[in-house]
Amino acid sequence: MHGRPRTAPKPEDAAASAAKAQKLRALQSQFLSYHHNRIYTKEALDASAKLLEVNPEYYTAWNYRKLAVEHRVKESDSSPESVKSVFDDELKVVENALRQNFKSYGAWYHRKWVLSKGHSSLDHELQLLDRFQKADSRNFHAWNYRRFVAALLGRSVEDELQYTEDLIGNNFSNYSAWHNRSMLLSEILKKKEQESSSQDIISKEYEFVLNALYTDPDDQSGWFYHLWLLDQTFKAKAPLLVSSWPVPGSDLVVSGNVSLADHPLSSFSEFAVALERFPVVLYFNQTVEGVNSSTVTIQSTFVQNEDVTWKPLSPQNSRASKVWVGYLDLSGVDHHSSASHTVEIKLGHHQGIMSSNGLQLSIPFDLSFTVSAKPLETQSSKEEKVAWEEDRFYACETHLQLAIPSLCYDGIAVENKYEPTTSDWQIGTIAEEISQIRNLLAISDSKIGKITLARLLMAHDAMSSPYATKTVHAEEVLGLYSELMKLDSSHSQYYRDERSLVLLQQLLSSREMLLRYCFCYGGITSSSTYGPICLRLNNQSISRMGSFDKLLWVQMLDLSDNELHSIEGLEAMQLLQCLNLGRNKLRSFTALDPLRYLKSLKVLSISHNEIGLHSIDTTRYSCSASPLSHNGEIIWSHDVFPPEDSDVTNYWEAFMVFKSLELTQLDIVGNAVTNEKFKSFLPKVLPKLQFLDGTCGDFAFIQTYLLRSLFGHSPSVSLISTHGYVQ
Amino acid sequence: MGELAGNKHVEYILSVERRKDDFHSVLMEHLRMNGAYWGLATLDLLGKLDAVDSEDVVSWIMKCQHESGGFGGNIGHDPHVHYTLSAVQVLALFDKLDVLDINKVTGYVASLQKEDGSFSGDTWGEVDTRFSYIAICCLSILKRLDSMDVEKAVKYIVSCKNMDGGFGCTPGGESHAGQILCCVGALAITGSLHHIDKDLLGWWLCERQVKSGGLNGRPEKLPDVCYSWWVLSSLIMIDRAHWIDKEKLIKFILDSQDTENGGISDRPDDAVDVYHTYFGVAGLSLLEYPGVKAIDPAYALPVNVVERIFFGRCST
Repeated sequence: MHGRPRTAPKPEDAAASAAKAQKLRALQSQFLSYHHNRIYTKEALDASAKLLEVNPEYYTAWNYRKLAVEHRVKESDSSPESVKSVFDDELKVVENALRQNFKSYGAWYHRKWVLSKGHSSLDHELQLLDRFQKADSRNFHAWNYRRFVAALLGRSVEDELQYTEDLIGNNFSNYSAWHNRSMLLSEILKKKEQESSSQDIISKEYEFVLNALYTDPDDQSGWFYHLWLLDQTFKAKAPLLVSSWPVPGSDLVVSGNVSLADHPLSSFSEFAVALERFPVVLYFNQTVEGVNSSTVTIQSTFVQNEDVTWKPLSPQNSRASKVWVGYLDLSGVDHHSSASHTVEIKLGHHQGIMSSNGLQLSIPFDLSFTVSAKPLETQSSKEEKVAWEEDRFYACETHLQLAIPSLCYDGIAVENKYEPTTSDWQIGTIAEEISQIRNLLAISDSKIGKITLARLLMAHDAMSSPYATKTVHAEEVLGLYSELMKLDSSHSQYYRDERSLVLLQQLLSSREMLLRYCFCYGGITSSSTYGPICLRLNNQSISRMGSFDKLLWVQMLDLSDNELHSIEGLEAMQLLQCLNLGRNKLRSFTALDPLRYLKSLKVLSISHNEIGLHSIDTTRYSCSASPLSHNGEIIWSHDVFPPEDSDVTNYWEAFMVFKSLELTQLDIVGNAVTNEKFKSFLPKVLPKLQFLDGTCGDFAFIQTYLLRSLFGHSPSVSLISTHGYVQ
Repeated sequence: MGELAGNKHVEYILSVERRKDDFHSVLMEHLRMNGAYWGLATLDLLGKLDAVDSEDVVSWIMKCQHESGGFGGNIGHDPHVHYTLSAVQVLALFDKLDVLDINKVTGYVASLQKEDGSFSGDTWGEVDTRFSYIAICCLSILKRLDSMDVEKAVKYIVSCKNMDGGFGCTPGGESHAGQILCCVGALAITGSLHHIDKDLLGWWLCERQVKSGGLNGRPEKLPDVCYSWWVLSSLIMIDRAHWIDKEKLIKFILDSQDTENGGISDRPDDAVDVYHTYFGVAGLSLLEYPGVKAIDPAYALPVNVVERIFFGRCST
């Protein structure tokens, strides 16, 4: 029981308790009998009032009293006085109940119900509230009731804002008052048409909250408000396209979806993607909606604009996303000629692409690139195995210098003559806050102060360069997070994740930096001097992946030997063919959900992770096809699984992820889940698999056998997509 | 650090059921249906559900059903969506959902949805995002989510989102960990978690862990064992549970046990009750404590029960 000390019951207490219990039980039975028989006499009403005074949570008694009110009003002479007196009785019952328990939902609601009938005076409500808010200034029932009464009374937003100021003045640690202030201020800011007056208000709030922060730098209340103010400072920021694939001005050579052995990805302008599914990726700085064939126009000899469907790359059935993909059908491109074709993509020239708060894409973008097809070579029937060992990779700087076009960075900015979208006021405000928090930290070791400073510094860098190519403060921020990991070890994983994001920004901040992590893969050399280019971010202590906007071109990625427990955001890397996630901390198959969007992925290592080790799956609700979250794409119905085959339901997580992939190579060794039974299940969902844990297996025999047993005999076994397409 | 006194907790729960005559039990009579769910779910998580006679429980539950289809907190008490969910959850524990007239229960729950997508708890109109979660969870278990307007329900929940990334009872209401579980759970079940700023909310939630290792429900409040469930299950659904110190939280929960007489309290050395015993054990389950069955963070039922519902694994 909340806040009641644990004491051994004394015999005399037990006796007293039994006597009290007997009395209460009698009262409850009597009440229920009145209620069931719809008796609303004075005696009956008194019994319910008495019961609610002892036990305000006895909800049926509140219902009874509402019925009684209706009955009494009907029976009364309907004069305003007698009606009012019926309702006034209720207000008294509520007050008595609240005295017993001021957190009773039923009591507060009964009062709202009474007042909303409009027969009672509102004069005493604010006084009553004052009493309760003095007794407990954090009582959220009272605050909710206050908002209700303020609206009924037509109190001005300014008056209520003053009230929060008074309460905060009494006690800086009143989070409830800060919260209410943020709600009220949002209303005021919404009404201000002039930008400058909103700016004045926000600037004043910074001053106001700083007082609180100085008073007790370790109290959380003011800091959360400060974070909200920071968000308000940037709110007016319109969405911006920060990166795309292809990069503007690039000349691409594309071949069909052939094997790695036939098609080394030896340059950044050569791609092996399915010609009928050539992806164009648009990466915005915030979530946008409205990307479609009327807001994005494509001009090209072989693509009809309206044939292109734009999809949000968001793991759930959302209509908004930071990243969008459109697939062009290039199958009309002539393989026998090396002529290049120009594709022009224009967006933002018409309204429609907008952020969640309704702001339109700020600057129109024109993306132009050329595509030529590479003649198809004879396909080898067997894939070559991709090995990720250290000695398979070699640095080849001169080749890489040529292979990586400078266009990878700042391309969009240069092409579109980017002008800053941030105002002097925003830059000035952030600079001022940085200096204020630095001063505060000079006299205090406040943990949230340090977090705030780190966030301010990153916001500052992002503002001066929205494509995040300059990371002026990255070193300082990395230092702050390292400090925090020691200072507040309980939350060290949070700081590690934040640190990881900053680290990645730094690693990918310039072409020179990037080149240090690019290697040629020497494992496949059959048809070219140089092997595929692999971005190797292995062994970097990365606990969280980010900066995907810089990685849209990557086809081979090594993330092994890190501390990743999630690959959120990886769905943006539409060109990925080979991915090494070995020796990380992935806990379940549902954590691999982003891979479902990578249609080119062929080679995957998830060896030595923690899949199958944990009883609690932390990603089962963020994945896109979970049967538990009604996510549509696959209809998981009881009748689609044959009772004799329990593998699909036993391994539904693996089934869900792998069924949308066409892997030819999978390494999964070193996970708790991999027993023989599981390994025999895999070929069923991955019919193109040629290498499992390094062994070249002829799975064809098993596949035919298993597929027949799984899908062959029973017509009820089908997986239905949302489009009704039966696979 | 001590160990989980599982057997003591089982005994404690069974003894509460027998001890109907002390004042406190009488005071709680109106929410006996919730109590049944807390107690029986605890027994199931500890692998001792067979210590009670399922037929007795099922027949008592059915006596609490009102002609409207909703369930009351006890026999003769008015129906309310909260007790309706508890009734459905307990029936699910015993794999006895087939005793229900699904149309009737569904009809009751769906009838409580309002024009703006919100839900009231009963016919008297109190609106709260808790009731949105309850309705969504209940209809999803009954596989009848299509009988409500899910899009509107989600829209209403999103309108209760706050500056800190959390959620309140109604638009404008302050964020509270219990309320957050309801809103995150409802969004999880409806596949709508993209409405949440996971990093912002995740940080706010992980900051609920205080020095003692326990979790509070709002900034600058005392820790309480029940938030081990409300905060942690929310963190799990948005995949940010690694941001808290699990060992310290386990210790806080174990320190709040009454190792002599069984039961868990809100904080060390306070009086125990079934509510905190359930949330303590459920918290330990989310922390993968050995010997406790895994619980699903959205449906608040053991994982094997949820999978039985959605895959019909054992019931066929």
